[in-house]
Amino acid sequence: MTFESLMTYVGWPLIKIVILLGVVAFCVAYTVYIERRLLGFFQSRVGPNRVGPFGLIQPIADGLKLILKEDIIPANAQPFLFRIAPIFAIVPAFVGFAIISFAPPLVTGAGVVHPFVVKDVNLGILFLLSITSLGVFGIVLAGWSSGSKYPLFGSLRSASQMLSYEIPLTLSVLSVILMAGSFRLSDIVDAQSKLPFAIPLILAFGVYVISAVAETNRIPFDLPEGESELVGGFHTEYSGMRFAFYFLAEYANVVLVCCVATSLFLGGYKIPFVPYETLLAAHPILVSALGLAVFGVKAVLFLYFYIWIRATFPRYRYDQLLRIGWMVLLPIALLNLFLVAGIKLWLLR
Amino acid sequence: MPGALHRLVRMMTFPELASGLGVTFKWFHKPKVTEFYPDKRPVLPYRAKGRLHVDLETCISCKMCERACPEDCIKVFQPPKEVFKTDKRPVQFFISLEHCIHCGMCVDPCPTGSIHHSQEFEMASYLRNDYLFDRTTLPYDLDVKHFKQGILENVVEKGQ
Amino acid sequence: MTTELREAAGTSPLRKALETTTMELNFGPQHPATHGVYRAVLQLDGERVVGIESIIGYLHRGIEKWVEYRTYTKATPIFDRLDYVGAILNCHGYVGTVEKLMKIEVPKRAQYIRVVLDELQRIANHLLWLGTHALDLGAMTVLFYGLREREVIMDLFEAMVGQRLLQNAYPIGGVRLDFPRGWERACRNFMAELPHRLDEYETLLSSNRMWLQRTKGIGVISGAEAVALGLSGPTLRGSGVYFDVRKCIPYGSYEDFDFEVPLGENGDVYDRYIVRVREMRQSLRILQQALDGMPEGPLMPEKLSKIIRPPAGEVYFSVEGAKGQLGYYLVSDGTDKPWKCHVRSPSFINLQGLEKMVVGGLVADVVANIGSLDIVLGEVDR
Repeated sequence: MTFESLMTYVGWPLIKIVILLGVVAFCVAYTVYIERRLLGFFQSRVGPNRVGPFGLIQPIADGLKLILKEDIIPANAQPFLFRIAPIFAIVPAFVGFAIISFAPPLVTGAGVVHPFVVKDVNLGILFLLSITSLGVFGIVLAGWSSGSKYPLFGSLRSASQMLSYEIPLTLSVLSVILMAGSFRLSDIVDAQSKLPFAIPLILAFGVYVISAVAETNRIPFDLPEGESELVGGFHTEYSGMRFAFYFLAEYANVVLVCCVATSLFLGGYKIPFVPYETLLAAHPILVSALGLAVFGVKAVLFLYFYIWIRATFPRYRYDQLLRIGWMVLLPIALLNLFLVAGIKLWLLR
Repeated sequence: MPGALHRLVRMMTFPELASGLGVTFKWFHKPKVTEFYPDKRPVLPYRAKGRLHVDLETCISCKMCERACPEDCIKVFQPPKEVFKTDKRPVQFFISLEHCIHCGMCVDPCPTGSIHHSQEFEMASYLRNDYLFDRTTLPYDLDVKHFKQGILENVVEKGQ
Repeated sequence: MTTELREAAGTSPLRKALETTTMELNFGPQHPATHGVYRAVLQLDGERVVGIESIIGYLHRGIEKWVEYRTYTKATPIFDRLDYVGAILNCHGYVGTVEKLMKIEVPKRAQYIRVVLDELQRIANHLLWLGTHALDLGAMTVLFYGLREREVIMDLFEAMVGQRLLQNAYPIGGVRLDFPRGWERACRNFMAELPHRLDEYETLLSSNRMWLQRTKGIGVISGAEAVALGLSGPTLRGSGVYFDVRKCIPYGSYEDFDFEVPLGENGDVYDRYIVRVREMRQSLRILQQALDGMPEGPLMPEKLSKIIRPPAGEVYFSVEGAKGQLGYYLVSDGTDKPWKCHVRSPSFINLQGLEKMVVGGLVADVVANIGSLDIVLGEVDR
């Protein structure tokens, strides 16, 4: 095996993975900061502002605190499952980022292309959906192994909630796939160079947003950790770094959902009607930087909306939540899928 | 039918949720109400019941405050009889802020106004002794910020 | 397992296999939604509540006994500690009881000042209640908005009587001091601002479909049941029973003011919520009238001995507290200390309605119901 092929199949992906992991972990930590800060603004207060300038070192301080805290395993818990459950939660959340293309590929020299994605899998969406649905194992295991009733409740709720909302989520994503004609995320982004899919697929976008909120267990669908009823939900018994894993997993999922929504519905790194890739073809680095910035802005705007929702709405009840999932979102998603399929088949042939 | 249609449209378009979002968005831009306490100290109103102060120069050792205190946190020691005829200032005056509930009931009956609440509110301390005030630590001057603590044993001995 | 399934299984051997038991869930005393150290042991069939046992007493401080060892004057500040978010109302209740026992005529101006402070305290209490109740149901922002408005009231209290939370506002006989300069203006500014803020809360909650789904038809208690259980205050009025101590047994010049008693219709969580929100608006009306019609005159009765020594006898006096009818029962044996003191604390009695409200509902509704009762454990346990 030559050095080149080794680099292509092992070296570059590894480097990309390390960079991506670092960047994503950083982004997730600062998502927590942004969320707390924005929530504060929405609530007429200032949020964390004591540690460092504008409180910017707050996530690092929180991380340090969580690392130094005692790792408690309750007497009733099943120690092995209790220990590994957080890993089940955090790994899928981070793996999902592997297939997202954050920027247009960097063209260096003739034909040498460095895509801004760890691996542009041709069944990217399927990979993403299957990987993210593994996250529920972490929650169910945590609830089961804690040996306590509140986590058990939280995990049972979570399992049914995630299963219920997986279906409308998948159906809404399916309509995007129908429109783009590909499972590959970069193809889907390319298909949106004229118009982001959020406009023609407004129904699917709505369904996606609602089920994404439910998938990431946030208000108004934050029942698994519904603080006022279930204390902390499935992670009630966790402390220290293992709790931090759940915390990070939750926010990694939030960031992931924002990134996926940006790619699928908001046109990814494209600017509608401004083909800046061809305009700036002479400066490939500039193209990539601009693409990255566009992607980031869209993702942050989506995140802002997410936090805005959290700041405004109360929480649904367990049965109401499932009713919405099965009796409102699922029919709408199905209807939308049929409509898109019909249009695609008969009108856009 | 129009009613049902209207309801359906309302259900699908979330007008009331949007107005709720509007409220939070409005406050997103408004100035925040958080007080930056250690950086900016609040100015308490004149009647604020902060730490108790006693002006020992005007105190006439009448023990009205001691009798009025519901928590028994004030102890006044009158001077000996022959001194009391001419000089009514107390020989010792204890206030235990550990027990003080800042109710202001000692201030009401005071005939000379020598016991009163100040606007000082930062009373946290690591030491219990800091909360026992005697005549050396009870300030005469409201501007003095921090007071030397008396050592409990000495204080108690002096009083007895 | 549902009862239908169990009955369908009959006496067959399948029945034994399908037999399930209820689950016991310990709810509190350390729980974010019990508003203090209240403990409920829930019997759950899945997520459905089939039984609830309230366990109280974690915050018992023996206040009623404590009072027997203190003089009447010294006992005043301790009653602030009963319902510590509605302290002025507690103080008014106790002071009013002693005044009734001693037949002290409180000067008119003092009565009006008491009305002003009482109603401000009621608004402050309801604002905090609204925030925590909304937080229980997930609407986090209302808590901060409510606290922001409550902060203004606290500042008004601080300027008026010197303390923010446990004010010890009234001495027996009247009030200590008149309004400080500029206080009325500040109060009126706040009163002008508050209705708009209340509109905002209602935009966030009253019309929100999630809030309606969480509160409408939840924890229903009929008027007759509420009366039978002795509930009072907004909890009773939410069930549509017209009973407000300020209207029905007027005290402290409340008969001078023109205000309405908001009533609910169904007796569910939503009605209890909307009654309290409307009550805040009515309190503003009373405040407006009290400030406009403030009479001149002394603040304390002219003849009042320094030592309070009521004649032997017993007395019961109640005020409309923030949570309901707050009654004080005092027995005097002619000394300067009460022989016996008993407090009819509305939180304690309202808590008895909880079982009627939650049984048959879901776990999440327990939280909504506890929130809608507006209990303060300092008052429940005393």
